[in-house]
Amino acid sequence: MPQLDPSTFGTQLFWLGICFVALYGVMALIVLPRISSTLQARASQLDDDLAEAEALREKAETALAAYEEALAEARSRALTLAQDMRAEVQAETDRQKAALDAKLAEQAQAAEVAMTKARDAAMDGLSDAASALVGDVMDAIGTVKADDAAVAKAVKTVAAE
Amino acid sequence: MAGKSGAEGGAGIDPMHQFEVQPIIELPTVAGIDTSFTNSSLWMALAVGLASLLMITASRRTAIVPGRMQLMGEMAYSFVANMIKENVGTEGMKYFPFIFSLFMFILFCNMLGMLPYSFTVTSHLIVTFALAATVFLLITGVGFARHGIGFLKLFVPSGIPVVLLPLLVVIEVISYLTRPVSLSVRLFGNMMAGHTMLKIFGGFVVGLGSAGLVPLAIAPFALMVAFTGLELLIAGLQAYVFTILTCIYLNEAIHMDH
Repeated sequence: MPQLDPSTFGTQLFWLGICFVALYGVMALIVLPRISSTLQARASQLDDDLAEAEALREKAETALAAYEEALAEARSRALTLAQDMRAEVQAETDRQKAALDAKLAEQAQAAEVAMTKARDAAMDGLSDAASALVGDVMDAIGTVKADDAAVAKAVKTVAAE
Repeated sequence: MAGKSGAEGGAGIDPMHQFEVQPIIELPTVAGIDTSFTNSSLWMALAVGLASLLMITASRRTAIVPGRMQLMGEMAYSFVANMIKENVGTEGMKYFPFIFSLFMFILFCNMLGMLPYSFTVTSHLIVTFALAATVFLLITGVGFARHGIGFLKLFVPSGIPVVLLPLLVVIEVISYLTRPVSLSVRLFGNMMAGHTMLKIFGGFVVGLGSAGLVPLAIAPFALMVAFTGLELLIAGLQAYVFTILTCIYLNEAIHMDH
């Protein structure tokens, strides 16, 4: 078994030492620091990016909140505006209606007055005509001389019944 | 293929031949150590070179959105980093470069060993033992540095009758000291056994084929294909196992929770 030949141990150990130290030097001084710094740079870049994303997200949320606030305000303003307008319109309508009502009531009253007047006049006319007719009838019969005042009084009494 | 161990007469294919360390460039012995550049050294250097090249290329771009190579490098980084964070915690990240290098070294040595005619560095016990011993010494050092002499409490289980204590302390010490052995033998054994088996089945295929029994060679060939897939899995898995056991031992040394 060549592995058990001690004459080869010296050279193997000698070159193993040289090779391993060389490999260790290359790894420890060149390769590993480079990879380590790359990995660290990547990690910090990722952290930075995440922090930035977080900041941007917060900003977006603030903007959204402001927008929603503005929207709510605008909505409430629109509501009050609409309510005011409605109240105004209502008031105007009420006012106009009241005026119209008053006018109509006035006209109705005037008409009533006129109607009463007319009716009274008509009634008066009717009494006069009836008195005249009664006087004429009594004249025609010729028994009793018609007393105008009495006839008118009698007619009025009848008419009032 | 005619190595110095082909002594049996060349008829069979020696499955152990692939593990022979042969010098490519003879270099002088310095302070009692043979420094010759061998096939083992070559594949170690190739593994280190390839791993370095890939990782340097992968880490060249430092884009926020990674490309394919960059992503691969970052996945390797995160894989080992997560292993340490889960098993040791953030204190363990101090040893991240070492553990990452360990993982990459074993992974690339194992994977390059799967190439035909290559040499599997990790199929040699001395190499895996050297790695495991380094881990063992580092972890023991960390334990004593953090807890001082209190680190020895690791060997004294709590809530045990005093009568049993001497026995259990001995068992604990033995199990602690055998860690580098089990760690190295696991990796070495897996690598060597897998490659030996592939070689033996390869030998069947060639032997049956050259004997004119091509239909009979289909079965070992199919097995070889299946075993190659399995060996690739094992190559990755053993690198992972070695690394995660290092993490677990490190966690024990740092936190001492039994």
